[in-house]
Amino acid sequence: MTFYDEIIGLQNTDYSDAFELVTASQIANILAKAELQPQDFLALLSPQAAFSLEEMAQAGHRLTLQHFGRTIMLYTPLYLSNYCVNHCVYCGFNATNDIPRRKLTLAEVELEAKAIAATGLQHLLILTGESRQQSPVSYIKDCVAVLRKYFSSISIEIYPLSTEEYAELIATGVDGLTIYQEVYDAKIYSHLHPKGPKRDYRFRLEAPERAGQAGMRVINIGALLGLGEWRSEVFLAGMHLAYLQKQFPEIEISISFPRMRPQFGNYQPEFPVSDRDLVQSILALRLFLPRVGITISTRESSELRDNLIRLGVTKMSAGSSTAIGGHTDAPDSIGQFEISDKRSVEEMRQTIATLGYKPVLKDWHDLNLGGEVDNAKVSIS
Amino acid sequence: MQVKINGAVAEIPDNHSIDDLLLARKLPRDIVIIELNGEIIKRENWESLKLNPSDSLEIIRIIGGG
Amino acid sequence: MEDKLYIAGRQVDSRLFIGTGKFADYNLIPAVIKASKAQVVTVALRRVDFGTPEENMLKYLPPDIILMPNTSGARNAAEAIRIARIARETGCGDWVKIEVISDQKYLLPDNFETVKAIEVLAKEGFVVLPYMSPDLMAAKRMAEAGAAAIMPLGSPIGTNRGIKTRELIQILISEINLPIIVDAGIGRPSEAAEAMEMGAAAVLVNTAIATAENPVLMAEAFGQAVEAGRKAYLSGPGSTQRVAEASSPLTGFLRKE
Repeated sequence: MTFYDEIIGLQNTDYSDAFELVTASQIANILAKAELQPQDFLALLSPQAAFSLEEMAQAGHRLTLQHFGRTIMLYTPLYLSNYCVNHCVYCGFNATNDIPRRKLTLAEVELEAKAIAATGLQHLLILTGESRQQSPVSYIKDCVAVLRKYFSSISIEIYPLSTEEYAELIATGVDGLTIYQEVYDAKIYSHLHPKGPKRDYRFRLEAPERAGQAGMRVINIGALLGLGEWRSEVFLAGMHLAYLQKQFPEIEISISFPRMRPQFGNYQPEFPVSDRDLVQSILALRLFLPRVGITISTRESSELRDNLIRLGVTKMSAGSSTAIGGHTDAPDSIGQFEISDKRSVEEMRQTIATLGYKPVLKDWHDLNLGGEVDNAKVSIS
Repeated sequence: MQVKINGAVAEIPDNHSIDDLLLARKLPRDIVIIELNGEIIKRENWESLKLNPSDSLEIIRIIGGG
Repeated sequence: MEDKLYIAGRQVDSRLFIGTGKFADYNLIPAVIKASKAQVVTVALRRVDFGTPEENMLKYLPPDIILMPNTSGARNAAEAIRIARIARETGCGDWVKIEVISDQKYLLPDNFETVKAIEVLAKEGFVVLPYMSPDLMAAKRMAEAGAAAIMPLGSPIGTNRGIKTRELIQILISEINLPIIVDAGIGRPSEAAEAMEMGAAAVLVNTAIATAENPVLMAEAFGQAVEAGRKAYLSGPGSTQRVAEASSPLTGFLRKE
């Protein structure tokens, strides 16, 4: 049994039927419940639940405070390479896009690392396109070996790997995996991924489980909002999270809510998601799974992000660039998509503090890696 | 000869079978289970199986329980 | 509404399991079983006591019930395994309630030894229902070892103190993909109903019925409470509203859309 079997079982769900039956009193009952079932989660994603958005917000806010306190974890992405063999029609790195391709040398990786580390960030997310030739696992391992000197936590957002490959990367110092299914609707998935290894829906869907078996500490998943009907996409992403949480109680599970952004290629999302829809998605998920991390990236505007801090979000990216070399020599080159919130790490830290929250730059230090341990830094202050 | 029955030493005649023993102790054979030296003895063997000196016998029955 | 309990593939028609210990007189048992509508009934094994006349306890049990011998008296896995094998020889069937108690003060079950016993007995084809202290990781190990259901205690055996372990049992109900049967501690029908409202698959009651002034009437009350609790669970109770909190709106910023 994997999540693939579960999603097969869910694929005949009639969402419009299910949504039509939801009543206001049902929503009120759900909001008073201690623990939600999948059908409650689905109800909270209904058009009816949108009338209770403020009540959902109050409940979601309270639950988030209860489980996470007033903290926002900060991280930043580092793009290592934009070579890609896939043809994802919505992505700026699409193999058919005529953009300059580049991969950082290890010396360049170190320069980027120094620039990012100077901002105080300790959690890093490294990204590549899918190219086993240009950015093989061995290349990623080499990069991690360099980056480990500068960061206490390194997550990967790369093409899906085998269990053994995940284990190899973990041994090198990777402790987190981010992988978005992009779109859970298998038909749309097939349509949006016409060519390349990414066509394999199942291999991607089961990647988080493989990483879990390999011993990954943190797993972050998500659906790229805009590619499919958001209510069912968020429902399936939530079910995926619940599955992972149950299967791997030892893993820190989280979810991102990435909305489609303008990108080179100008794909227009077929199912646009409004701010209100996004807020409903986040809150429904928070009420369903009170303990999972929720990530909002710089894809969203500074104004919206500041408001989302009180609505269940626990992690944010800051000082981001989606371009290769974006932190050093090529800040203006073409990235994977356009950043919206362009504030620096320092500005983000100040804003978060002003809103009454504590910006967290480091919440993990692996004592088994990296040889020398600076006890002064490790001890709880 | 001497054998052990339910943890206590007991004196029984030589060449006694399990059935002989149950009869002597007035135990209906359908309510007990016999374990001989740690092994369960099937009911069909109770007549033929003769006990030996120093055998350890457990005679067990079902009672009410939660 | 179709709402059947299945354990190891077998349909069980009543969600009240009863124990047959502590009854003043075995003669009460047929009426107790009938009044409670219970289908799963536990029994125990003991060494024959030569001092007192023996009677066949099984003759008081109707033929269509599922007999579940327990391993009471076992202090470790090896003893539980031995008792289970003996129980099967009695013709009671393959069901066994694993009960390993190494603590004679509180009579709390030993989860670690219980896991070991399950591993062996499940492989031998037993339908194993372990009595346990409600602990999520222990329950997972028991499920992996091949348990057919998990039977967490509500409070220590025979105390009639109700579901003191409520929060922990609730977690088992949410996380374990096996029937969760609350065993031990249920002293009143209202507590049996509470367990069922929480989503327990069944409850096992012995002391509260056996020691009632009128065990048959109490058995009937438990049967009805279990049914009522199950129906309440299925109907999705609207829980009490939280007290309204005066707080500033969190979604006001969306209005300008």
